[in-house]
Amino acid sequence: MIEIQKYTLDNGLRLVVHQDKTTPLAAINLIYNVGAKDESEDKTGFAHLFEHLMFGGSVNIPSYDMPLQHAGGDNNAWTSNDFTNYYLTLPASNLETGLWLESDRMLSLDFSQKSLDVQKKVVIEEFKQRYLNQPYGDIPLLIRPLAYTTHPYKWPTIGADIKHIEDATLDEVKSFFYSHYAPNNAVLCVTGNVEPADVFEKVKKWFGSIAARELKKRALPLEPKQTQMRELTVVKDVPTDVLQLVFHMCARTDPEYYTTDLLSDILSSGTSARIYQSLVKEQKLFTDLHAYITGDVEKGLFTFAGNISDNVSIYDAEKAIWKEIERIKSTLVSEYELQKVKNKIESSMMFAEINFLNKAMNLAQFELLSQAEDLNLEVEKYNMVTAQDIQKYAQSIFTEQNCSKLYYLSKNKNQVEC
Amino acid sequence: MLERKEVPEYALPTGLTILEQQELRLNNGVPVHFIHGGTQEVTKLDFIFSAGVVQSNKPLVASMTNTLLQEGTELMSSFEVAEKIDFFGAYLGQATNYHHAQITLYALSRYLPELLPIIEQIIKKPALSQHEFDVLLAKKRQDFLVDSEKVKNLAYRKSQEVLFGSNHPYGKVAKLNHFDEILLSDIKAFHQAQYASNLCTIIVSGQPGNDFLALLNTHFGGNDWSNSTEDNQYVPEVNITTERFHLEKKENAMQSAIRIVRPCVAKENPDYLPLLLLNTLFGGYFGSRLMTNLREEKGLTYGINSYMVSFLKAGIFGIATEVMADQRELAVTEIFNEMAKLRNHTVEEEELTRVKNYMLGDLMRNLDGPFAVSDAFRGLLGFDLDFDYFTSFEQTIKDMTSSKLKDLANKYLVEDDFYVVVAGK
Repeated sequence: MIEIQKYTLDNGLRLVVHQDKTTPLAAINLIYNVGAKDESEDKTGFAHLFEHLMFGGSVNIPSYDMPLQHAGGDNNAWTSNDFTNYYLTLPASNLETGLWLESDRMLSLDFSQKSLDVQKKVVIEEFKQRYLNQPYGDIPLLIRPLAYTTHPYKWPTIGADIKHIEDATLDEVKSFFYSHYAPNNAVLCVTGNVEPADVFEKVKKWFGSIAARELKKRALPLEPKQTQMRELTVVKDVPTDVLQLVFHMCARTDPEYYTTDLLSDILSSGTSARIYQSLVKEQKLFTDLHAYITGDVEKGLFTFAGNISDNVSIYDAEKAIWKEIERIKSTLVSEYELQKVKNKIESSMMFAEINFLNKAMNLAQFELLSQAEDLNLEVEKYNMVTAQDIQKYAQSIFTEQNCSKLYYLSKNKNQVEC
Repeated sequence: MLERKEVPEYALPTGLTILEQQELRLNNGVPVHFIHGGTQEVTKLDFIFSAGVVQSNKPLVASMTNTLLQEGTELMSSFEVAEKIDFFGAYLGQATNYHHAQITLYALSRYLPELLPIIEQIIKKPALSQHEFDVLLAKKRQDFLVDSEKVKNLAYRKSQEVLFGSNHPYGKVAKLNHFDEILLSDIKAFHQAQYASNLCTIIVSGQPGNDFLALLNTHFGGNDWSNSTEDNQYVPEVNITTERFHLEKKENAMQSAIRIVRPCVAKENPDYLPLLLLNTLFGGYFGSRLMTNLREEKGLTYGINSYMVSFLKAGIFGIATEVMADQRELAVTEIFNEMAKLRNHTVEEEELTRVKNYMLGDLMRNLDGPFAVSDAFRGLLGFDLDFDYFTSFEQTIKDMTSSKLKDLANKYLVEDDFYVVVAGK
């Protein structure tokens, strides 16, 4: 149970505070309701590029990092398809330094051409390092546009093309900032060795005078229902074949989310899970195989991803996955198996509550999606899922017409006939 | 009016508070280090053995043995072990390094009575079956092939070989043929020799409950699992090459990975802690000289860092980055330029204070909570060091001066002492 206090400023900024006296430190997590899904199709990668620019100096403070380091702090940020999240930790006595820094960059950035030019290069190197210069690194660039024809989830946060990043202009940067970065589009969460009333006063002091902004209305194109199996084969200079099967699933805020998550756990959480035991350990068709869900705010993807064993045909290996799918669609999971994945959820939530920064991130996300208090109801929601729910949900999503598959073949492997 | 241009007042807390550690022993003498703390009823247990690369005479044996231990026991199948661990919401981890191998259990404390019998079997009576061996070997072999496609791994492996020589345990990196040469009998022999009570240390952290020592004694306190193996941490002389530049070619690489490395002191050396400060300033944090120059000013890379590694008997000072392939020479030149600046110019007070404060904050982060303290403590095992190490680290940071830094730079950041390893183009 995480105890919290909540406040809302007049400008719409929501504040969540959680006191944790066991640490001498404090965390500030500021999440903005903007992600790669808010980009236009010809300017992808922008939200993430923008995250880099948030460290290039703000209107009154030339360097974000230096004053924070002086106060013993450290920070980082991430961008997803749904959110952009900034976080820092520092000795709790220096909390105000963090609030001063975060409020100034919410007020306005420095918008320097030099910073934009350099960060474009940095992001392009990131693109290469993570996606292009790694075996299988480009899978997200292949699978997303296969599974989504219309919805902006069809490109990854890094962007669909390096060229989009190269072409970004300072004017676009400015307009992106003012239409998405605003107190009324963010949640601030402070955790650690702090007094909630004191945090509220300090937050009011630093953020209270930032005016609410008119936000760009979000009108995401709907993904039409998939009606037939999609398939893509690529042959590359990689050591082994990789298979991915993806299925459309529900959104993070849908009630079926908990069923979906447990379904993926039954199949793949821990080494005792079904597909690992059956397809990796017993049949040796894969050397590694996972099933996982995206947990996106909009309707997401349920993925099976596996590395095929040498001397095994990727098509045989795929058939074995479908057989496991048939099994979970036709037979109820046992009470013991269901209890096992529920126990695992409960313990992982307990472990997640140890770290104050972790709590700050989770609370902020929950507040943005619905309300921070709901974080305390998660275990209960998982516990309510029944074996019937899982079977029914598996039947509804694991169909051929809801599936996209990627055969990522090794140029050097002797392809076995199917 | 709000003064947005002025930094609000700040001050670093004085005095580091570290959770206390108790030195306990099981009935058979196995040392148990206990770090008590945290609000949740959870426990982390590390079982650490002298079962690392140094103690094995064949590549892959140490890590394969450690991983294979969890794959079934004489009484339980691999599936049964995994299912029980999962059912009780526990996590079983493992890691192998040069001098030690460890098995780590994260558990809700109330389930320790159910979980410890399984851990006992894993350690004392593992099945080590041919089937599990084959599955694991196939996976490790594929992972190795995939890793071998990544320039950063190629550069790392080569740098170890360059620094220590390919016959030295620190320099002996895995090769594809090693996967054909390892046998199940190697694993069985290594387990027999190295996983014994006389080679074991346990670290307990968290809130394990009042009975945890009795529980540990029940399962691990007897004389049934000792042997006559000495705790041998000997490593031979290093056979270092004279060739300063090494290129591991990889066609079609879009980026080149760079490792610039030199032999350096180990943890017990009096220069080690002061050097950590020089390392941070040079390339150890986001505001470092290297990040500022190569990333924030030139945009050559997504990231660059310098680092220090200390094995028991030797250390490394190194720089690692991945840069655009056609700018590799510029990157190397700039790295050496930054070394020269630290040798020839005195660091400004502002920058020194910033690094000091950042590191004091980081020390607090790294020692926050029982699990963090237990990890920090594990890093001291095998050295003649105790928790005073962290207070002297704090003192070293506070006492550092610009002139000491310059002396250190002139002693350790000397271009001719470094080896340049490039993978890619």
